Amino acid sequence: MRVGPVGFRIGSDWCAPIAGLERLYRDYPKPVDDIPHFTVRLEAAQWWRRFIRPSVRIAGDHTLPEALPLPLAQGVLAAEMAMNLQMALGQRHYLLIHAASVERDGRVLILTGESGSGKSTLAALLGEHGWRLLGDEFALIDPQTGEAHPFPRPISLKNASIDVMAALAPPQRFGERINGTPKGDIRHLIPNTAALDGMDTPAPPALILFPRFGHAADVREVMPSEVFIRLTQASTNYVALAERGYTALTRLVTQTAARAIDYPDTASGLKLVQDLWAELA
Amino acid sequence: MRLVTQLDTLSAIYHRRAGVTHLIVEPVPEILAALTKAPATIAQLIAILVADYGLEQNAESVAALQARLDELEAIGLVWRL
Repeated sequence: MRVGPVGFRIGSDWCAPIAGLERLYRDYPKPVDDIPHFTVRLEAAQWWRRFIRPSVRIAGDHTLPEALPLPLAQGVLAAEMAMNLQMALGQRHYLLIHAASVERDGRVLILTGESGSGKSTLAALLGEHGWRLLGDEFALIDPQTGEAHPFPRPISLKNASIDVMAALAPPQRFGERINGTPKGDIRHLIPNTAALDGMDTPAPPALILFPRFGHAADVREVMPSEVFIRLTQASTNYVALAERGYTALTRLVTQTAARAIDYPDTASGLKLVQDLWAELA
Repeated sequence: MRLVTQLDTLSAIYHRRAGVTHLIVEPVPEILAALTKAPATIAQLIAILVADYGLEQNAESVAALQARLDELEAIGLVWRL
């Protein structure tokens, strides 16, 4: 399948993960000229693990030797993790920032923070409130143009945010619920038509937010040097891109407003984001 | 050889030969700018920094400048001729 500018080929020792992926990616296009950028394979950790307590080892173009196998019931999650890994370790065309991003009025909001900061949930909510979802995992910054390219993978909803989004999107846009993962329960939300139809349309960044969930509502200015440091930490390929990474990141930091926001619940987070967008973007 | 971008009170510097990014604070950008124009001794460099950037000329500033130059030499951004 193709997600924005990146084509993937997925192979598996079992049918079930492929069936799960075909459900999640049923509306995605094929790679350009049917040539994928990355290959992912879901393999049995040992040959007998295809049958006895089946467990999935991630293989493909790029792998982490220490990665632990996952149970077959989490095969779709293993594939998603493997696709992230290919991007994190192999992507050289775009500056990759671990961030969610959404677009409105032709400009992009980047939400970056550690796992649990709520960036996926905020992006998913914004995607159902008139914004176009560009992605919930990686923001792809083009070093030549400075624009953010969409990479609208299915959104990885975790725990409480699953129910929040179930109230907003129809059941056919959800994958199977995956219980007991290292991050709790996970259910994937297929991006809406606007996100999928717009996956080839990049836009310039206008605002960077560093959200933090579970704290009293607050907004803080973030100095450009701190934004620069935090984004180098959030980038998986800043060093690998060398001078192109430096140029892309300094342009992003010096031309884009940034704030850190705290929010106690998703409703107030959504309002905070929309207010800041109206004020700063 | 290098790119410098002023961010706020800090500047980012990309060292092409090393492929490394540094964040630097004054007077490092001023030192590098002065040495980019022409090589200089410590005394000449102090004279430039006093004239162009208002550096106070005393034993403390000479020691501080020497310390910064040693650090910059260690990471390959300045070198002795």
